[in-house]
Amino acid sequence: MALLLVLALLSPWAVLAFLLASRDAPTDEEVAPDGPARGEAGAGARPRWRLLAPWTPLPALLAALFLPEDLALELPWLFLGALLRLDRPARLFLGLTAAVWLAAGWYARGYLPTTGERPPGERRFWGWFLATMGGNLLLVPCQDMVSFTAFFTAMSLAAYGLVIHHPSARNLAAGRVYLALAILGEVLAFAGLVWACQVAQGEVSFAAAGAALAASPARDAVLWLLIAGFGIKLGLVPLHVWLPLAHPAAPTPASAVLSGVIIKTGLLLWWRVFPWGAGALLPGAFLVVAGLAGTFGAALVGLVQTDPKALLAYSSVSQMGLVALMAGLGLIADAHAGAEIAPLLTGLGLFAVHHGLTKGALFLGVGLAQTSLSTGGRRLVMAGLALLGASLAGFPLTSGQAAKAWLKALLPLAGPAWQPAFERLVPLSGVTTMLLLLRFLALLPRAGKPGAPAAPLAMLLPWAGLGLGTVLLPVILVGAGGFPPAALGLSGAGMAKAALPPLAAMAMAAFVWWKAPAAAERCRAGLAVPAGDLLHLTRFFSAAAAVQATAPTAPGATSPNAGGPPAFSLVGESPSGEARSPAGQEAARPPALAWCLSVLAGGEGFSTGLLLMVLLAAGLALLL
Amino acid sequence: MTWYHWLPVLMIASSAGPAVAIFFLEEESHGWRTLWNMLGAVVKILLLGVLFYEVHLGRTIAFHVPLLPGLTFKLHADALSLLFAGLSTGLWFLTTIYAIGYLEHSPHRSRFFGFFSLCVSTTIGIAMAGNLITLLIFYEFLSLTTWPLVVHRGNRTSITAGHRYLVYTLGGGALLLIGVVWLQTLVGEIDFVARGGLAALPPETHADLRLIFAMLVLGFGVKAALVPLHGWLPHAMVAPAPVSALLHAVAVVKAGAFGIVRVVYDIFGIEFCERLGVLEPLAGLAAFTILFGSWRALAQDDLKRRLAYSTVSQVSYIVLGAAVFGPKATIGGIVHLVHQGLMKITLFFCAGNFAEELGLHRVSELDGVGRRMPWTMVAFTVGALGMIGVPPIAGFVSKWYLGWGALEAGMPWVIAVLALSSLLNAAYFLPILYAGWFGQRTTPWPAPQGHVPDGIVAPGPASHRSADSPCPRWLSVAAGETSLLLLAPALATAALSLLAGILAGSSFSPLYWARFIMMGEY
Repeated sequence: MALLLVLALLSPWAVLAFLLASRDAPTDEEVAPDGPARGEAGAGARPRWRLLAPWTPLPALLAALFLPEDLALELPWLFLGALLRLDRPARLFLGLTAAVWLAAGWYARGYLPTTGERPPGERRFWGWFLATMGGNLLLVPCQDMVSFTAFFTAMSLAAYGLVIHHPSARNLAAGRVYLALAILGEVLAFAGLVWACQVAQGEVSFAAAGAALAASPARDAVLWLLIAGFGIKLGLVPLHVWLPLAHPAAPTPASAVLSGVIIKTGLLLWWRVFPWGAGALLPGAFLVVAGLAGTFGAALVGLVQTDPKALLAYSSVSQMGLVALMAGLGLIADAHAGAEIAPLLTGLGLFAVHHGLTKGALFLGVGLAQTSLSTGGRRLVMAGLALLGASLAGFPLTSGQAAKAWLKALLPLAGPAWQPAFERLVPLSGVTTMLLLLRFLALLPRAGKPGAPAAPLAMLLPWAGLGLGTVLLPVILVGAGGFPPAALGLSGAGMAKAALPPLAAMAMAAFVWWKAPAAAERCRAGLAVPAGDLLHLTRFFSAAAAVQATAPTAPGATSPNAGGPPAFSLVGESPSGEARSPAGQEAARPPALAWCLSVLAGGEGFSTGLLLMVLLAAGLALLL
Repeated sequence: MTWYHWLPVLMIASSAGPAVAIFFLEEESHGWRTLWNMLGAVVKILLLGVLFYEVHLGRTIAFHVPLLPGLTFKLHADALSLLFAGLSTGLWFLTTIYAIGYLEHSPHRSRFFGFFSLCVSTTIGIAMAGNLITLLIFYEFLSLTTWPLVVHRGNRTSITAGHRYLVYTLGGGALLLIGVVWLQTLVGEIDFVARGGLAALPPETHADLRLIFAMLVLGFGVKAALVPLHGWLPHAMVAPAPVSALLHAVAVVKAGAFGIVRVVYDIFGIEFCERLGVLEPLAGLAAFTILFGSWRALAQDDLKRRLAYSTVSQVSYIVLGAAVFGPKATIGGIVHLVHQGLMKITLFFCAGNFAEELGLHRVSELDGVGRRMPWTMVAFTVGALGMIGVPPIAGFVSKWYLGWGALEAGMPWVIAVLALSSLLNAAYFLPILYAGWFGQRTTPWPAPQGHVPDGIVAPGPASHRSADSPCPRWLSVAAGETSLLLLAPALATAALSLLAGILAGSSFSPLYWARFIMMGEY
């Protein structure tokens, strides 16, 4: 049994080995520009890995569904003593992870040819894709810190290859930010985990570390390190800056897994090692504040994006803000004073599954909208995406409603003093999310690019499959037992409460669209915060310093391609959100500069926008 | 004295004997030279196997010869000496294969391989030394036998570098000599014993002992390249690649680090060091060296110099492990002796391959080299990621134990040093990996550099080895990217660094042996 689990988890590496061993792929020079399209090559000519690759996560999905619970495997010779166990959270995450990877893999099969890829690029993509998947699937059942970090690192580093798959200057810059933050996260995580291990008298298992941390004087120091180290992966404000840069840079199926499952691995680690209910006030309060800042700040910054994938990335930051908020409450809560932690963990898992499926499907939808579809097909896709957006905002009868209802019931963890405030704020996040997703729908192209190929079934079906998941999740949860319908908000009052924020957002959007589209656009332009927000702040300051130091030299002119600059510069060239402007490198500074100046000077668009926002917020607060 | 008391002597003789034989060989007798080299290496590995078995059963094998009244020449095999001897033996075997491939057409091969074997003999002598005097003798010998290797090329830069090397190491040796003599006058002969033998000295000698400790550590610190005594190392990079590889991974810098470990654990004893209060300054010096070396590495464009500064930084992890009081830090430091050796020798092998095959010496020339030499780049990647401390490569295990030990000793600042050093390592290694794997080369690759005789224009990598090559033709062409003799050692050490991390929990890992050593010291 345990062997089956290991075999299932190792399948990506096996397929990767096939891929590396296959000699079929013509090299760059051998590819004739008018070579036969992949479809005509015939199945017989296909190497084995290409047949296997999209199926790779299937064994893991089956393992999550059918292997017995608490299947354990102890390997004392591996690393510093590895322990794998398929406990309930592991099954939950494994199911989610495998499902999203499966959908993304099939989608990639249809996606790659449509963007004009030829075998060499395809091979490269699948190589990194499988390596990332291999790390991601393996880390889920790990119950000890060392094997978890080993696979976590493999996943993080391999994902870099996905981010820079299209090596444009903008994507390379995004990749640099991604890699720099990933390494920083590794280092902080290393420090935190070693400390946790020391606190646990050398035990590397999560269970021992979590229990020892709860009573240790080093608890807060370890928590800070773990919050920062894994918060980077989770997109915790202010360490989220890589998300809005890397998600648009990666090919669409890779964005889907990045946002759908990879960022959840940070949550999984928190889940396993945090001393829940230990009354850790300061780190918990930080998580709450950072979570709130993410929930609302990222939604607002997301509203002014022009790239739908950057917008979705901000939406992920915003949703993970809610996760951080709840995690913070779980840390502050005092189990000795009778706080119940188990429902919180269930809720976080529920939310992770909901968000993973929904966000994965949303990203896949972006790629679909760029293909040429029939009018009916496009309507279908748009309707589906609208439904997914509504689910993210917690619309009734969606997975979002179920997850949010469960979490809202836990707000008493905040204590009587803070509970009312949170009970107002959390529904408000439904409004901002809905606004964000409506803007997302507006940004999607109304028609495919001229000459874009038709959407193959390999792209439509995975998208539809993930999308169905978000609709069916509440049904499955209730059907599988353990979840009373009322706790998931499936009652008349619950549905009315859940419907209010999205509907309010729709009304607001409709109002703006009808009455003041020009003002809204002015406001957006005035507030144009480029993707990667805070990064541009530092870039602005360093650019200003560079201007003062050497006036004639153009700041930020170091090329990322110029043969390995001696230092690993984070602040290189523009990963600007305005990447559509052809100005390229020159566009690096103006948006950031314009942004800072408009903030300082309070330009017309800015003040209009601010006024509008304040009015909206005040109206909502009264409404709720 | 039965036969097996001679085992330590045989360990030394198994490379010293071939060394002498090789000196008398004709320049052109490849076959005999290879035979002697390989014979020595294989015999040494077999002897080592016997020793590991004996020591694991708890025996210590010692060999004494009185030199002068009060001075004994003593060799012994304890757990710590076997760790270092094992590393030297294994890597010597691989480096010899590499050197055969690397130097097959260059002049003075007999001289080179002769000194190469002598250098390994002295390293084994350092590992097996049973008292301070014996260690000192071999330590001085090491300086002399490595000098001809550093200046092997014979041009002006290598002579200057060799001069600098001699000044540093002989200076360090002199300091060491004073320290040893002083200590000898205080307590008589000093054998290496677990937990040290000085703890019983009266308190009024403690001031002297502190000074002696400083002299011994600085004397060994020259070879271990502790800042500010590291100046010789980046210059010694003019030596041929196999020499750099062995100097950095095994012979010289490790001899220094090993000496410091011996001083701390087996002369003073770690607990006595703690009481003397000498550990904190040593830890501070090591931490500074770690950060300073990484910082300087950032600015180097020459690949071997970047690796050299990386060595300065990494060897101090071993010293840091010795300087933090606690069993876990001891394990971390000692195991890094092996781990750093495996990873760093991989990097130097690869740097040598880039230089040998394509004439690439600078980081800025490496764009796209991963396409041309994928396997070499794979090995380099493993080594570099291991240096950063990426799990599950060996470097991670060292850092884990060092961090754990530092926390146990109540020194959380060490964690910050480790973290900062990892970041710096990433900052100077990742651009190399990026250039190699993702960079685009715009100009065609230069013709393979191998020592092709004038007039023969090599059309491609597969056929550039000339016909009189001492190795069979399939060895040259099998790998496609470079000679198999150059590639296989790099891949082997890369695989070993990976396995040392992945199988850390098993009883075949360096970590297991380091734990075994630690049991004796506390």
